[in-house]
Amino acid sequence: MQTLGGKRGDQNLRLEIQHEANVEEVEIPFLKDQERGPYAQGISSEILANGLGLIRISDLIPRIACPVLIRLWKASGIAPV
Amino acid sequence: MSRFDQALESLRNCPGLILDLREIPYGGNTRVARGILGRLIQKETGYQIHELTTDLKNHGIRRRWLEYCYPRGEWQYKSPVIALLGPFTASMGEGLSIALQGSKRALLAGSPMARLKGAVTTFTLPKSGLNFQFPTERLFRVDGTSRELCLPDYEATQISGTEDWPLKKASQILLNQLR
Repeated sequence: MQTLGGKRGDQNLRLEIQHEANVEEVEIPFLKDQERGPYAQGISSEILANGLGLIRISDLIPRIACPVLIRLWKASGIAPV
Repeated sequence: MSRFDQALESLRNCPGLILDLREIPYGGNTRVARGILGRLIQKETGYQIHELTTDLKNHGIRRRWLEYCYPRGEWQYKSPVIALLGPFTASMGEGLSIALQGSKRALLAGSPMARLKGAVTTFTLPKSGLNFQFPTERLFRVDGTSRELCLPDYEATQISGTEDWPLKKASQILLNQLR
């Protein structure tokens, strides 16, 4: 599998994927702003108004990195991800 | 791990805890997840089951083992816990989630996780030196359910708007549990 190129548009990321002799193109929709988490990366804690505790855990890789990887692999059909 | 411990310390007296795991697309390794779970359990607890797929494919012999988690820290949080999941709960986030669910330590709410089908191993290409990762192990909840098939106990999907609906629903579930 090889990523030949990518193009970032307003809403979508387009990737060409080569696997052996097959080249395919996938469209990956970018997330809308309201679908993104409102919190910073790392760990934060707060006590909610209802008294419950909340711990938010996030890691250091931008959120878009994961869906690209997942869908890229799914599209290629060669990795069981 | 110290940052999680500090966060938990600040919430020690809360009657219930929400763990928001919706922003873990990469995660880390099981040490991180076991470290977190270790603050929430009172005794040895099964974390997840591993299966080395090559043994079965190459030799026809299944190889599976159970990974355990142990209590950690000076104190452990004993009150009810609910974890929030989403499509970007991946890798270690999925592992922690199925461990919480499998051990019945926490309820899970949200939408289905990333459904990554196993643990990856890093390999290096001999000429270019480039690294790549490829799945080498399948993972299962302690009851034997494939990790990618594990679902939240409560469906809670984000709908349009700025209010965090899954968080709101998780709070309601937890408050009902506390009544």
